[in-house]
Amino acid sequence: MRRSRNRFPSKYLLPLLALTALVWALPLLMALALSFSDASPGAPGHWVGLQNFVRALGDIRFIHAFFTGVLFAVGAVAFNVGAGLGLALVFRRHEKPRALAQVMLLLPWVLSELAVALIWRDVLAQNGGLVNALLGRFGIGPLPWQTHAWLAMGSLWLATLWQGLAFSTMLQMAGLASLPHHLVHAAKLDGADRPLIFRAVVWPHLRRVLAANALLVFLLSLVTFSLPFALTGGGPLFATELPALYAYRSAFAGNFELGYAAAQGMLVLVFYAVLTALFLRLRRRTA
Amino acid sequence: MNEIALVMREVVKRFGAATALDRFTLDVRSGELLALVGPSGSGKSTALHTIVGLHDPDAGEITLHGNGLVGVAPGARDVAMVWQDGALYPHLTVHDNLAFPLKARGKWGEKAVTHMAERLDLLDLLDRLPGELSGGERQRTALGRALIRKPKLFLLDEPLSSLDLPLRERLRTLIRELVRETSVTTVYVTHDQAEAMAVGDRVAVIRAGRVVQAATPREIYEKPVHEFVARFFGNPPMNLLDGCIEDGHVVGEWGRLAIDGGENGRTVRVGFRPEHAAITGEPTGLAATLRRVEYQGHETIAMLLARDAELRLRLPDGEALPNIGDDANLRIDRGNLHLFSADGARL
Repeated sequence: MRRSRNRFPSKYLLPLLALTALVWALPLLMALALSFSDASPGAPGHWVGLQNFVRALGDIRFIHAFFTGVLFAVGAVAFNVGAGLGLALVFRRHEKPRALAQVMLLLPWVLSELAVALIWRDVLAQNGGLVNALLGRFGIGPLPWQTHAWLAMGSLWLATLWQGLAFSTMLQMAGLASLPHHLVHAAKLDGADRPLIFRAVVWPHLRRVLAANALLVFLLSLVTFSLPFALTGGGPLFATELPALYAYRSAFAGNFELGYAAAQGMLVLVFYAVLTALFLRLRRRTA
Repeated sequence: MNEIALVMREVVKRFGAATALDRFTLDVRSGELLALVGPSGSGKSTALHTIVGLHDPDAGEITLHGNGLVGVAPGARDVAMVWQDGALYPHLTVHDNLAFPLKARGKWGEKAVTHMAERLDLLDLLDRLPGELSGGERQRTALGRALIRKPKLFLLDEPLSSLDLPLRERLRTLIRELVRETSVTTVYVTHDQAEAMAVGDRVAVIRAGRVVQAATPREIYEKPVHEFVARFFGNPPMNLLDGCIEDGHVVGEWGRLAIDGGENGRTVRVGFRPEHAAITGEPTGLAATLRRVEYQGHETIAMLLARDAELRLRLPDGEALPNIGDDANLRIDRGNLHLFSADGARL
C-alpha cells in the first residue's frame, strides 16, 4: 500500500525543483558559460576558453582582492564568533538583560546590508561622525576612517559585527542551551574552577557549534558586496576592495567585462567548495 | 552507635509557590548508607541539591561533621555525587574522567586512578569515551570518579534507574561493598521501595518534602509510623480496612478483627501484610470471596473481596485454596495488625 502510494515522490517535488532550477541552477550555469566568453553588456561575446581564468590568476588586483576578502572574513569570524560566544555566556548567567538585549541585537540583523553600510558611513564620518565626536571628548582623533587602510578595514569589521552579532549570539545560545546542566554541576562538585569548567565541559560541547558558526560567517563575509561598496568604496586605494566589489567593477565599470567578472566568481566558488568539503571531512572525523 | 555526620535541620526550599522541602529534618550517621526514598516529586532530589549546594535552602541548617554547608561553594564541600545518567564528561576518556576530580584539586596521582580502575574492573576500558560504554560501565566509571578523591559525603541520585534489572542488582551490591570499604557516609536516593530496603543500612521515607520515618528496613516494614509508609513498602502492599473500634475489635462492613484494647467508637484503619493472613476452615470475623489467583512459583498471590474491600494474600506454594468464587475465612494474629488513626499516624 504505502509503497505504491510513494512510488513517484519526486513528481510532487517537481514544481519546487523547477523553481530551484530557475532561480539557482540557471543563473549559475549562465555565469559558468559567461566565464568562458568575452561577453559584455549587450554583446553575447565569443568562446575564449580558459583565458579569463588564466588572466584572473595572474591579475595582482584579483589576488589582492581575494586575500583582502580572506583577511576581512577571518577578522569577521574572530570578532563575531568571539563576541557571540561572550554574549551567549553572559545571557546564560544573567536572565534579565536577555530579552531587551536580544531585541536590540536583532534590529540591525533585519536591516539590509546597504542600510547598515550607510548608517556606519555616517557614524564613522571623519568630521561630525558620532564615533569621532565621542573620541574627541577624550582628546583622541579625529580618526581618518576613510583614508587609513586599517581603519577602513576596521570600519567594515565594526559594521559586520554590528549586523551579524545577533546571528552568532543566537547560534551560541542554542549550543549552550543543549549543554546538560548536571555536567556543569558535576564539574563544580569535582572541584573545578570556572576556567576549568569552561575548558573541560563547555568548550568541547560548543566546539561543533563554534566551527559551524565560524564557517558560515567566513563564507558570508568573503562575498560581502554592499558593505565595501557603500561604506568604504573599496578604499583607500584598494585596501578594502573585496572580491565581489572587484568583480562588480570588472563587469559594470571600466571595460564592462562580464566574462572576466564571471570567471572571478567561479574561482571564489571553487575555493568555497574546497573549504566546505574540508570542513565537513574534519567534522566527520571528530564526531 | 556512630557519630552523626550529616545533619539537616528544618530545611525549607521553595520554588515560587511550591514548597519542595518543608522543614526537612534528617540525620545521617558517619559511614552508614542511608536510602532516601519517596514517590516522584516528593523532594528527594531537591534534598540532595541543597546538600551539594546547587540550591541554597530558604531556611534551616545543614552541617557536615559540625561545619555549616549553607553558602559554601559546591566544590569546597567535599561532597561527591553520582547522577542517574552518570554525567560523565563526554569528551574525556574513562581514565581522564576518573582523574578529573584529582586534577581539578591539583592532587593528581596515576596510582589512585589505576587503583580505582582495578577495583571497578575498568582497566580495559581506560581509553574509551563514555559514548562507547554500556550503561553499567558508565555508572561504574561515575562511581569511581565520585569516590576517587575520598569525599566526606557521597550522594547518589537514582544511580541505577536507567539500567536493567540484573545489572541493577549487581551494581547495588557493588555500591554496598564500596561504601563499606571506604566507610564513606552515603545518601542514596531512589523512588524504588525494594531498592531502598535492599541497599540501605537505614531508610528515610520522604513525602511532600518531609521525612516521615527514618529507620532500619526491618523497622520500616514491621513498624511503619504512618499509613503512607505502610502502603509504600511491600509488594503486594499492605491490606488496609476502614472501621470503628468496638469492644476490642475493629468493625466494618467487611467484618471484624480482634485487636488489643483501643478506645471505643474511634474511627481507625486497620492493616495487615499479605503474608500475615492465613486461610482457615473455622469461621473467623473476616470472610472474603476468592476472585483471582496468581501463581508465582515459590508463592501464590490471592486476590479476595470482603464486601467492597479488596484484599491480597501471599500464600506459600501448596496451600489449599477454595475455588474461585467461594468464601474463605481469614485468620490474622492480632500481633500482625497495624492500626492507624484517621490522619494516618500509627496508633
